[in-house]
Amino acid sequence: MIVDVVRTASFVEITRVHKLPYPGRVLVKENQTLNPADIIAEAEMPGKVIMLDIAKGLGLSPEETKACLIREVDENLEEGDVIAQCEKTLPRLFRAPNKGKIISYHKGQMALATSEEKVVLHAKMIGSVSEIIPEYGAVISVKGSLFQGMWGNGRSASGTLKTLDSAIDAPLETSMLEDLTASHVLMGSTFHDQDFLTACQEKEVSGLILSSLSPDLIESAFSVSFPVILLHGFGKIPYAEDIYESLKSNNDSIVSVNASQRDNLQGQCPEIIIPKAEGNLEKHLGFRKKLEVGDRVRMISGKAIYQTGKVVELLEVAQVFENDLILPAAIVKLQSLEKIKVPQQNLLIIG
Amino acid sequence: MENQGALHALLSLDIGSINTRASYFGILGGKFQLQAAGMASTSQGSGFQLGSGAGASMQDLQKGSGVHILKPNGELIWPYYDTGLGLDRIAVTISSGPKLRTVILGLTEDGSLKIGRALAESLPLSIIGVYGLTALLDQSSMIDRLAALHPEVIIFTGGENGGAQEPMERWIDILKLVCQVLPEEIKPDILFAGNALLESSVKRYIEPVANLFLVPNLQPDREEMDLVQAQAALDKIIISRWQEVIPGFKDLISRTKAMTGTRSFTLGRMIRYLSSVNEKSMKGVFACDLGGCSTTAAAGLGGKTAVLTQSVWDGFLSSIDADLVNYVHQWTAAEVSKEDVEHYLCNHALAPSYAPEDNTELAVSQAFARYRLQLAGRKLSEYYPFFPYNPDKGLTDHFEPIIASGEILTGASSLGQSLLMVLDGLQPWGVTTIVLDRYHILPLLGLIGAQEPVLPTHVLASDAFESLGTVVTAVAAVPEDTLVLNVEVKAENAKDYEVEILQGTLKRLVIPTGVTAELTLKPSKETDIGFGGPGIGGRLKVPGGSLGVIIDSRGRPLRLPAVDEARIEALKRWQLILGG
Repeated sequence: MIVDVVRTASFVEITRVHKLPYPGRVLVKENQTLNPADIIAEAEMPGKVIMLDIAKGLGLSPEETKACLIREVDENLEEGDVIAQCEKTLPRLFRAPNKGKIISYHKGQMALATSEEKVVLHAKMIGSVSEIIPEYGAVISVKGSLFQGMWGNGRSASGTLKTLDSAIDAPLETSMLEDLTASHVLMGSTFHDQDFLTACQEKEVSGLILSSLSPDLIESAFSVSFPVILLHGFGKIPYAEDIYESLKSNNDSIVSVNASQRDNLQGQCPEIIIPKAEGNLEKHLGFRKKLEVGDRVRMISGKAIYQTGKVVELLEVAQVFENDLILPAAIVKLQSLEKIKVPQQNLLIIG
Repeated sequence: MENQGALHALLSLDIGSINTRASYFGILGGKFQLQAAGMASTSQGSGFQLGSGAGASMQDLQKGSGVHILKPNGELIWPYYDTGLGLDRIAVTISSGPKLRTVILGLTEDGSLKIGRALAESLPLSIIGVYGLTALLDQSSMIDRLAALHPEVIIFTGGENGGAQEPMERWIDILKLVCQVLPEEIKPDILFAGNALLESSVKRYIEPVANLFLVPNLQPDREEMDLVQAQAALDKIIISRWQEVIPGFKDLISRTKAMTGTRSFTLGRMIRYLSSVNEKSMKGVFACDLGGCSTTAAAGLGGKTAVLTQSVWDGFLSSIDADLVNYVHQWTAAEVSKEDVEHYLCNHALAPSYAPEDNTELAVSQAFARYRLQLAGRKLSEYYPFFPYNPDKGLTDHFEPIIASGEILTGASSLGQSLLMVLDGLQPWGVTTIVLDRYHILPLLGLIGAQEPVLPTHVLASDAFESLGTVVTAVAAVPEDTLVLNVEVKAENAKDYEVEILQGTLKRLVIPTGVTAELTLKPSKETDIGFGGPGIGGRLKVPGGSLGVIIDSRGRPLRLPAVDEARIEALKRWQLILGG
């Protein structure tokens, strides 16, 4: 069975491909160091199209107008440039009302694109450029710790990781934000009201890492300008202890948070990267993987929900569960050494 | 691989977001039959090739089935050998690709735009903009808006054939400019399905700047609506674009020269066929597939067809619908809070392949399945007036059979649970049969039928589909426990018996598969059993089914007790009546 990978790795090489949807200019160089807000590439598209009624302006029929045109499609114009000229008893001119580019002419009507709409591609992570994709973007790589999550609000940023002083499962309070600065990425279990998020916004924190969040606060989380990432999901889910300890051990480290939505096809998921110079390099697993014996997994159902363990057996025959559903199952050995039977599809590979 | 010549063996693949199913159809006793089926995870995503999941589903199919379609190295045995090895056709239906970003351009909200929406929602398309006459007031900003949306598909419709052309001509100007502005790599495919008089203009101005598809007007006149040819063109567009974005899809279908279509389009085609067979009986046909990530429903009646495909999880977390949470909570046969339901659904949205592991989770999942069914019914009736579904009343016209598929239904703990989900979600009136498409082959038959019409005919008559039972609904506005119906049962090789049906009950009459029973239905004067009005009864010959005959006199709409304890008790009791 193929299942999602939601990585928790202490040292791994992270490589992400960033591409524009259509050709543009790449603004970075190979080996250049990047931060999440840096622009890798940009592309332009003609925008703010205005329609110029040249026929009406010259007082001619559409058929007569064509002969009066002195500028052509695809030409760039400055404000005031003469587009059409009529040499009759009373000569008349038609001037460009704005700077722009002529994109079409049809039946006395001209379409002028008066600006360029820019599409920019941000790095969304700390790293360095390992490969340039000409005209489209770049491949960014970095070595370090990787913590992938279940949900993000679509934002990205970097800062110094600050574990807020609370118990592993205690909610965060506004009072905990007193000594913080704008460069902090905060880590805590959850929060219960919007005031906390508002206070974070006022403090201009750089990011928020949570184990879980009430679905009622999703809309608020979308509205803030900094990244919010949920490592486990929605509701009241405390951190898996190993993940909590591992993240906490990186307190005061520089982290980048890309709180993107999960998209297996595009190869993206919400993730926290903590760049590191050295460590025992763990293997790359991708975003989905065939479940195998030996995989480190997290359960998302059953009595060991959100705990981590190791797959010790993939049962050949589908198993009957408490609710009489018959499902492909795996035997997972928990950290407590207890072995449990779990539906394979309810496992996430973490390493 | 050439797929000409007589057909001996056909492999079909149904590629869903979570599972890929393989089915093998061969000839037994001179007729095509489903001989083996297999399933594996869909190998879709960064770093995967679609073919590996398809290969794994074929390996699973071969396991213990006696069917041999793969060489030891995993390659297909091609063509079919007289020894019974291999196959000579492949058919692929797919629903796993990303929905294409779609804009609808037309004229009026209740006219062309509504029909455009119905068309877009019948296929895996995601509507990102709908613009009518008022949008034409500011041509410049409309161009900017459309260009900024980066649509992949534009459905351009409106105007009856021979009707006014002026507004549509303005849309042509805008479309032309938008296509000129957009870079080649992100140019949309344009489907024109409007006033036929404008075809030459559309061709002249749009064809040079975009990929144009011309199909007949969706609404040639006020009374008529025909989506079929537009659906066929869009199906081609979707398959073509998915070949570019789903790794391994192009390779999978081009190497095998497979017949290919989206699940929703091919399901619609099959329902069209089935309803034409049903035409004499004046009954409709309804099918619903509750897939892991999408709900696909199709209905056919009197030559009309309705198709709908809805994403289950897209946008789910952006705006959680309180009505949804209330509905699911109401229909959960377990003690849970609304908050628990909300958390469960939100986490399910993050992991769509998730399977309920205990009884409470199963109860929430099955309540959500009921919600998905009623939502599909509601949406279909909104677009297609011939499909009379109203959540406050149920499905009031005769649709028989109702064919259900999707893991939540086909993989339920008991057949009774499957039937009850369908019954509660759709609330059909009159008499109907509930059939389970356990192997998810109905859309595939729609695809195959276009080239091999005999195969679906044979397979439909086989036991590939499981009849769960016949449902007779007795509706009366009388107090609970009032006698509403008397049923006399005459079954082959069994003693005749009589049953009294009281208002507010669900009753199961065991009629085994293979046995035919004759029911004499005598409703009370207030009771409507779908025989022409209240008080009208009659005789009914019913084939046996896994669950026999179910008499549903719980009322329409179904009303659950207000007190939680009583509500849960009622839900559990109904489940128990149908076998637990």
